[in-house]
Amino acid sequence: MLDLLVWSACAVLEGLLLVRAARTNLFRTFPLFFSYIACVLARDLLGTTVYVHYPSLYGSFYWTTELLVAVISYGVLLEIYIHALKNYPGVATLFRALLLVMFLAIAIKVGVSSFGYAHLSAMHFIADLERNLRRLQAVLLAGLLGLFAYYKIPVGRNLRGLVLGYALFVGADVITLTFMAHPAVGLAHLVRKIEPLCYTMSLIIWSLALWVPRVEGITDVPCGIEQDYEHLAREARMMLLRARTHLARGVRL
Amino acid sequence: MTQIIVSVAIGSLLLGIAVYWFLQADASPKVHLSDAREALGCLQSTFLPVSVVDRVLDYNDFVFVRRQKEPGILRTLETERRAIAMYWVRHTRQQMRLLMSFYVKSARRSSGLSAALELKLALNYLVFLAACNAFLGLIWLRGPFHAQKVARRTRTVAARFCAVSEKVVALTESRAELREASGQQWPAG
Repeated sequence: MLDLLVWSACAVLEGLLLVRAARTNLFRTFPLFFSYIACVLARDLLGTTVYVHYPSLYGSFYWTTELLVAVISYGVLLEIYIHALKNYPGVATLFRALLLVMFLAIAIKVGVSSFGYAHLSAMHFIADLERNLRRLQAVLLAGLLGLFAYYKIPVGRNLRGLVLGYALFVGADVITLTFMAHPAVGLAHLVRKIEPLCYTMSLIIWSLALWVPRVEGITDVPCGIEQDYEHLAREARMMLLRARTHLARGVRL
Repeated sequence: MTQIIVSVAIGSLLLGIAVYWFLQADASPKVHLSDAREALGCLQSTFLPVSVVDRVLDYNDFVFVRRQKEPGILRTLETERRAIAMYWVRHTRQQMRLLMSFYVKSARRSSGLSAALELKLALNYLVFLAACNAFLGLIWLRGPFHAQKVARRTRTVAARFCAVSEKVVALTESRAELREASGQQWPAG
């Protein structure tokens, strides 16, 4: 009963988000995010039909669409990156470096572990792949938020809500997917109940943040220290390095 | 089991950073050029001059009071000097944080940010903050009169960092003057 209630609430909130986005023109501002929501809604509605009329096909339908949705959700990450860092090319470059490193790490990990996939079923393979995709997404999002926090990147209200809801959804998903993949731990049943609740919370955050479109209040203008940046950064680093050495030596006294 | 630990660690890290970022975005003060200049001035004139820290943590005061054989006075002296020393460290750290914040806000618009350099700077700054905390712990544990050397070193390092910050502030001021001359608005931070 509770499952059905949560599922219905999610479908209603997704529909509401899409209708509101169409009315407020936010669809144009965040096309990838709203496309993702539309995909999830379509998957949920289609899934119900498949479950009722073709129950034997539901398993393969679920895992295939789950993987597809996980791939599409990378679009949201891309949207956050584009919107937040459009005026900060240097910080964007730092994020791209992180992206490259993470992709290489994941590619090596998947390449190495694929040797052990021969005995696994397609369903297990997809579940494992999805889990890796979600983990990568979580690490990239954490890196992006770390950059936002460190460089104090100003983010508008709409985007802030979008990021918070997305982080809650991805973070909870990474944890719950692992527990569901390891039923032996004994928490799979409980986690299965928590996951939709986290997604509902994300939808509520998105609905509240994206209800009214706000102009992204970026008041920052270039201060033009590009030419002297490298020199200053090196000097600042040297000072901090000395500080660390002196203090460490002092604490040992 | 490793899979579960890794996933829980990644998920928790993301949720933790998201909450921190969300709360910080609300609380983050705007650092204006004048604030940075004020912090710099405050550090250079009040907190970093040699006489201030040396006087507060002077071991001779401790020896003198100990000779009076009045445990009450010695306790009071230690308590008061500890409070002053802790205030000094906290305030110096706070001003340094403000200067670092100003540096970061000045550098973030640069198109030529160096990943390696920024990473090293961020790590060094974090370690510096951790070392300041360790210093506070040292004062609390061993008393103010045994931390004079550390305080002197902290002051020297902070003074060096101030010299770098002074360059950033001077550079930004000159840019601001140029911008004012050309009629553009100054960033709010």
